[in-house]
Amino acid sequence: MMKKNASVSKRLSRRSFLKVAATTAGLMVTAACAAPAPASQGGEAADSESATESMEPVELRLAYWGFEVEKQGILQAAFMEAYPNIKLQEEITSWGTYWQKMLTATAAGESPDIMHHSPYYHVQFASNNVTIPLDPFIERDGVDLSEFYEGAITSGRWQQGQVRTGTGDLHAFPTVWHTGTMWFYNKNQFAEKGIPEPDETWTWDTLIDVGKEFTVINDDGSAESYGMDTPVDGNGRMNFWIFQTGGVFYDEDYTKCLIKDPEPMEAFQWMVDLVNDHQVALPPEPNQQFNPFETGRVAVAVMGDWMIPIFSRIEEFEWDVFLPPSHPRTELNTIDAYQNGISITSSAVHRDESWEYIKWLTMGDGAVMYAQTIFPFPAHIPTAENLIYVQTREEPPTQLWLLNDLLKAAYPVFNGPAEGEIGGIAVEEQQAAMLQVKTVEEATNDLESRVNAVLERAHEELLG
Amino acid sequence: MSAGEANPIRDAQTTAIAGAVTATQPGLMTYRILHIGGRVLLYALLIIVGMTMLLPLLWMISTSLKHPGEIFILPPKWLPNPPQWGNYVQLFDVLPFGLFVFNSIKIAVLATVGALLSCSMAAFAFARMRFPGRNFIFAVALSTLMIPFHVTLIPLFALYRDLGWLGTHLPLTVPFFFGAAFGIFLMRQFYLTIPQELVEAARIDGCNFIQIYYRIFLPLSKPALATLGIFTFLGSWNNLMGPLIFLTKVESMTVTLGLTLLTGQTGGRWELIQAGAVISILPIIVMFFLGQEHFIQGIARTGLKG
Amino acid sequence: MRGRFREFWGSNRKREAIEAYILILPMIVGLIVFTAGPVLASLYFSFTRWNLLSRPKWQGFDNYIELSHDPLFWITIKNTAFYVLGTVPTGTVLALLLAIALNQKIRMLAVFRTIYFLPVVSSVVAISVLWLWLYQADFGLVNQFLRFLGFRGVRWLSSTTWAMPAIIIMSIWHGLGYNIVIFIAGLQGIPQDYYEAATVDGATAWHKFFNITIPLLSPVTFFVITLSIINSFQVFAQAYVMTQGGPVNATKTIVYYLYQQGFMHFHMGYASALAYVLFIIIVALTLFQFWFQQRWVHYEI
Repeated sequence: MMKKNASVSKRLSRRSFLKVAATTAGLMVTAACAAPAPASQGGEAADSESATESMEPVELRLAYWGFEVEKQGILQAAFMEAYPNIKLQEEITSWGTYWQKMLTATAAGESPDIMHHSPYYHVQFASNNVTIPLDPFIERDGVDLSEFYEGAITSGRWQQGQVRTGTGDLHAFPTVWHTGTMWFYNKNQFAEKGIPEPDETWTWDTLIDVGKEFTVINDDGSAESYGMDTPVDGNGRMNFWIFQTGGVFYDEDYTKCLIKDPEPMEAFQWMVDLVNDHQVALPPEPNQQFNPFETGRVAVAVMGDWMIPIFSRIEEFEWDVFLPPSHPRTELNTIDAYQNGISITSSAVHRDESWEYIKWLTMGDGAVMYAQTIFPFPAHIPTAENLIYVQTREEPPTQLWLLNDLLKAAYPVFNGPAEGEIGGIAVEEQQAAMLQVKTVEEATNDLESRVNAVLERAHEELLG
Repeated sequence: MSAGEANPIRDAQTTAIAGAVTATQPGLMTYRILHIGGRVLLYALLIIVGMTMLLPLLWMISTSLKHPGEIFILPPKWLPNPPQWGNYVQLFDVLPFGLFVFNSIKIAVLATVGALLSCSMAAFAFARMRFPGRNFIFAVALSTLMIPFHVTLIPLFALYRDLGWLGTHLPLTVPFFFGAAFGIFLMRQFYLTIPQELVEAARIDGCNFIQIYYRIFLPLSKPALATLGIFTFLGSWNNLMGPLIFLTKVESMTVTLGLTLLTGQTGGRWELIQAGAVISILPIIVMFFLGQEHFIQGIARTGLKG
Repeated sequence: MRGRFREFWGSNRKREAIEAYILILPMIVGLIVFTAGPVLASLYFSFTRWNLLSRPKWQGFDNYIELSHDPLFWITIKNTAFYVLGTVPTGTVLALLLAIALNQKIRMLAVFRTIYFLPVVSSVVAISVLWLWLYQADFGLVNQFLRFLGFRGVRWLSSTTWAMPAIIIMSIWHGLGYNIVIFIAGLQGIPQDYYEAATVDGATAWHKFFNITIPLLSPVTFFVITLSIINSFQVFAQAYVMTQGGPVNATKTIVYYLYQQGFMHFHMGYASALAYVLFIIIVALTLFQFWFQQRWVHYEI
């Protein structure tokens, strides 16, 4: 089953989409004329004001970001086939403009019923009562939350009076639990140089030693190849280095930035040194549209696991993933992990039907389909373990199962109300140090004061 | 004659006159050599600049026809072998680009019609009629040229929400029926070049001003209308911010917005992105080719002489 | 009463005025509904703190005061000024020179003119996506060309030094054709008699250029410069698509910062204040130009 995933998802063409859509439409007509279909398989509570009484299907507006429009279409069609009483109306935006869209739409009282959610904005939306707590539905239906990665659940929780996620009501039900710290390597490059492939013995020091073997700069200034690529990507990318030194970026209550503590400082210095001192990492690029790993220019890359489906189209060389190198002193190889979630908005009229969709997508048939075609890192452990993190995986990355334990032990990154803004500041200051516009001292000072200012403002706005 | 075409007869005449004038001075041969040398340099300059303009666009087309494996190679390949026309098929598979093109055309055509109508009307009044407050209103209208789009964005959003226009094409078309400073300015400049005698004659024949506007000025102002039409069409076609904020459903998106959906993800497919870029500029280039004579004439006639 | 009524309708001036108001009515409505109203509403927002989700909270001049202490604001002013100074003079001079070259009764004028105009008709998004690819440090066409000429390539968009020049070069390339077409129109509007008379008087080409072409073209030049400045102060899409304002804020322009504050971080009040500052800068510069034009623009032909 797993073997087919990548190729299946690649080949789901528009034509097959139309076919599915047509079938679904046909079914819907028949369903509408025949007896009303049951509202769900999951045993809907009797007190719900179910729309099945009427012949007209309930219309739900569903917002998501992304590119996989045709696959999303198939997914939605499958849902509507299973639940003929619900009709989904999709609203699609690119990631870069999704939040702008959600906020403006919400401000205009036009928010969708169901929205895909990112932890970056959980607090902002929850604290303004845009998303509703899902706990009543969970209790009613007896959903077993232990079937989900623990961090994925806590990341979706928010409590009045807190500026970060982590505790309280569940506002965003997890669809995805994944990491920004996936280590990739180019097997061909290792074979050419006769260097043993990376394994669990690797530490930060190994990165320097091996990285130097691979960094080759041509006379004309172009880079033939680099040891590694660690793209600058907000404080998300900084987090795992910091965690491995034993430090954290924020204090417990998110009142201040701890970057000036010794451990985070070590991590920051290390990131800059990889580029400038050891010269094994690619200098930062402002736009990450060109993937150096995909184009075979780096031997090792640490990036989000979401690059796996993109890398699956690589034909020129063999590649795989490996365990994160550990810190030589702390011996930690902790990764950061993130939840993607899905929420019901307070403007949703048909909340029960919306919840049916969420259940279908996160633990029902939709979860399998979603993991197979759109985002292959389910937060639902049974789906993840049966489908994704299997030892018998044949197409790259064959060692993806490594991720399962890492994700269970991952440091859940709780997010504050201004994570996007803080991420942007972190990018700027990292780049400033890497491009030697500022010293590490200056960059971290500025990072600290700027993040503290944002946190202060956020506390003020949220807690009055 | 039309301003656009080189005129061989006048060309020959000028050369002959110039030759006659200079022949008496440094000697015909020297002149000829200088002249030919100058022409060669001139054409060299024009061709080099032309290449600079053209090559990036050709590279866009070339990349759009490449196999993913051909993109990141050195030295670069200009001619994909074989050309991957399938990239375009794939592009239309990934996103409904055909529908995007249709939406863009629909919006641009409506916006253009609206702008032509409303701007030419107002411009006629400003150019040829006397009424209290004319200069003041014209100055206010012109000054709106200086307002950054973002200043009005949020309130407009709220306005369109209250009107129930969000998600429809109305916010991208209706405002054009209510005039725009640049178009009014352009049309007014053109109307000023039409002889006042025409107006006087028509007045004597008993026409009122509105009749003069649509019976005389409108038919006479084809070049200016073409110019304004092309500018409006271009502006609408290339608009990113408006569709971004006001459109929600995939079915209603425009080409330019569709292109950002393609680039929006990390590790974008370069051949597909460039194919999308080609699709997004092709219709507009075709339109420019068709209308360019009028367009160039219009720019010349509006004179822009203040 | 009837008499005055008749007088009113009988008066040609009144009738003319009424017809004129009918003709400009749509424009007036548009001006109020789609421009003036929103502009005033925005002014109100600039005095509030507002994240779109909650209600706007009045806070007086706080946003403007914060703005004056915000180092990023001053960086964006500097970057935008750099962009304007980089694009407008170079773009204008280049366009003028090419327009003069194209005006030399050359063959295939239409072909050249069309080619020069092609980038203009292409959307900034498409163009930015293309140049992102051209500027790529290792595979991009620009660096390959430089290396072919024997230079070392530059990491264009990853360099705090080169990112803004890269955007400037691209923008000049994009907008050149537009100004060329307008200059050609202006050049062709200059009566040939002036040149013929000057030739008879034995004037050199340089004399003719400086004493006839430049002065008589000055209204067109004024138009080109004024519009270019207004437009280039609002530069956004290039930075949005290519660099996201980076690296290290090197390409962060006023409108990009406004977009970031307003539509990424949802500080709508602050963004509105930024928009107003931009508005004031543009108005001030335009007024200055209208005042200054008296010294160099010749309207008599």
